[in-house]
Amino acid sequence: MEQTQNINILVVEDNPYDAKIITELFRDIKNGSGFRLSFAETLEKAGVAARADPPPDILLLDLNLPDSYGPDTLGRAAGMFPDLPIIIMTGFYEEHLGLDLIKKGAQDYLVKGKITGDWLAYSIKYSVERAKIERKLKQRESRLEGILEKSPDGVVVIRRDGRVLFVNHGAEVIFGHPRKELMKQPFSLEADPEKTVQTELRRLDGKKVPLEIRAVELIWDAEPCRLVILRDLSPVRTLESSRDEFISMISHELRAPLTVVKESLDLVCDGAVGEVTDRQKEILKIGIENSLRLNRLIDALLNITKMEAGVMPLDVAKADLGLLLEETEKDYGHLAAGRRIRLVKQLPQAPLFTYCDKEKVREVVVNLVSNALKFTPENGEIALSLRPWEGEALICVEDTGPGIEPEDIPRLFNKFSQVGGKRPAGVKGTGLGLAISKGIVELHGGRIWAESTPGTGSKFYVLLPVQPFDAALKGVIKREIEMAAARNRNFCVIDVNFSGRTLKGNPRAQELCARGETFLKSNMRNSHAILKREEGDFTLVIANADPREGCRACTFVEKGLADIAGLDPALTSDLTSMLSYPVDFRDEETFIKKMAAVREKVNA
Amino acid sequence: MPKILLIEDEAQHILLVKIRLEIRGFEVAVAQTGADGLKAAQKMKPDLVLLDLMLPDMEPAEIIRGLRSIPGVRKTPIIAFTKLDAFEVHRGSLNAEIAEFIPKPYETTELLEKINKFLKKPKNGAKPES
Repeated sequence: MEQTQNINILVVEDNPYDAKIITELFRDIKNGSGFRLSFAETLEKAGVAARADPPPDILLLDLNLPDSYGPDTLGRAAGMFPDLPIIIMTGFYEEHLGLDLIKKGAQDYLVKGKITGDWLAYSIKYSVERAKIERKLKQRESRLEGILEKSPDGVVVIRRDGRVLFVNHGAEVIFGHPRKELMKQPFSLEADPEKTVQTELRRLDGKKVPLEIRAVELIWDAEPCRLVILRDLSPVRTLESSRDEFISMISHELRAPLTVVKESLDLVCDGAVGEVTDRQKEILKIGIENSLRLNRLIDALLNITKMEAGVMPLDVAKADLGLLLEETEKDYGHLAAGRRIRLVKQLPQAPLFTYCDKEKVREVVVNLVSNALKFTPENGEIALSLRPWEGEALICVEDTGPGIEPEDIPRLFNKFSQVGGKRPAGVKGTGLGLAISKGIVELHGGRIWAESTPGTGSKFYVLLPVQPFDAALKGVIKREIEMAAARNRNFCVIDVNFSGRTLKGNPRAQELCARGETFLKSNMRNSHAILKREEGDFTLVIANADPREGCRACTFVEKGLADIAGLDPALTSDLTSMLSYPVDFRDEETFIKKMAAVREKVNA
Repeated sequence: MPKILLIEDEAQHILLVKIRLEIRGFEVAVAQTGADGLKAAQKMKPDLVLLDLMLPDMEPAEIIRGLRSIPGVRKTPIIAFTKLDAFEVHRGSLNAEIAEFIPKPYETTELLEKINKFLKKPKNGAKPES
């Protein structure tokens, strides 16, 4: 067996008679040679003796010493020798005192006159081993505690009733309160084990902290509890806002020089600064074409970035999808015929109207048709179709091109994935068309996908919701709320009612409405969304605007519209009404209800 | 010949816009600072001012106030080049003296359309043909 090493025992005992008893007890022990005794008469002297080499492994402590008297002696000794196991040796046995001492950390409680040497030896050996185990446990606990404490994430344990049972340092930092206070209050943030919640913490000091909250079920002290992890999203938000700045920077800084390049070439090519030969013109046109292409690429990059950042502006109005397809067919029929490709269309009998961003949907259709044109060989056919599909509108662009390999289909809608090398020479896309199309369709709450039989052709489907104005508005507001909530921002929604009372009976109403629309679209270009309910009536979403700025925007719009209609500016205040997030509403349902009420009031 | 005053500090833009406008038969004067712009306006009494809102020496509001204090320029239409949209400019408390905003970078055709609106005298109240 092991246990070959000596156990060093420090006996703290001021009574020489008792000290003698103890010494004699050890003499009786079988194999007692493994113990080495040293003595101290007071706690103070014990302190000196404990620094000896080798240090003691255990303390035999009398409670009544010249410099310490009674049960408190244990506490004092434990404070002086935190890592040493202590056995209390006493003259009289008192049961309640014994239990109390064990509770306070003594390893054992023994009565001097009533104990045999062997008994004492066992007690000492067990105490030393127990103390070793306890030290290890303490070490492990302190490691885990260190990890919990040093973690920058906030860790909180809450009981079912919301009572806080544990708080780490990270949570103290996030909440800006010491844990003592945090544990007094019930936990008030939403912590759902089913989903990750992003929210904003408004601290008492006024600071707003964007948080990501995750929770798991946990048994804590045999009680079902919830472990809540809080992550401060401020650094992520900073990154996102610098991305938004990058978008506006790119749009200006890249485009400005390109515009100058194109304009310079245009000027020379047009002969504005002197005669140009046909040969020179031909070369200049290559430059112009490529600057246009670069401009398209910048536009596409900008669009995809905007889409990813959730700041793609929307211009929603009632649109006839069949008409849109018809127009596309007209625009591309000539080009297709030039390549000996038949472009056919199949439209439903009844027109399909929905509220959507018509130009963006057109971009999707045009992109699909021009892709099909790129890949369809001579004498091929491209079919453009629209049909109602379970309350939604299904657009399909089908070609007789080489088709797409099944393994390529999932990557089709990724950025820069130009699938298939069978494209005719000289045809270059941006590699972003399908990714942008997907973004646009999803922005409308729709779906886009592809099906193909290699060697036969491909079909691209777009499923768009057929929705009335309020449904489209609700979708837009929902998106805006999600974005604003995640970024800790506000926004305003302005309802413009130009067609109503102000223009009723005015013979020029139609023309004035059109001019009002031009005014809004050119002057409020940076709105996140402009939705046209009907002629003259709009809803504008102004991002990053508090109610005061929203009011300013209202005044600006009212003044502009009053100018157009020649109205008295004093009578125009009911041209607009405004709701502001998060002051007036926090979810899209409330918004729709409140906006309906506001409209009703204005029209009354 | 209608007279246009172009107040803009970027030399390349000046050259390109000036050539375009001159081909169209406009008389064009150029100033590269706000101060020079005001002097030139005093001298030429333009029929239209093209104003860059980002000039090195003066705030746009200050230039506009200066222009409006010159007899004969009090009602001259001002077309402004700006990176911002009109509402954002308005948020920046620029006054409403600006007749039209042109986003930068702009297409020449857009600029010419807007100029035509003021110098071709569209029929009263009707939408100007483009």
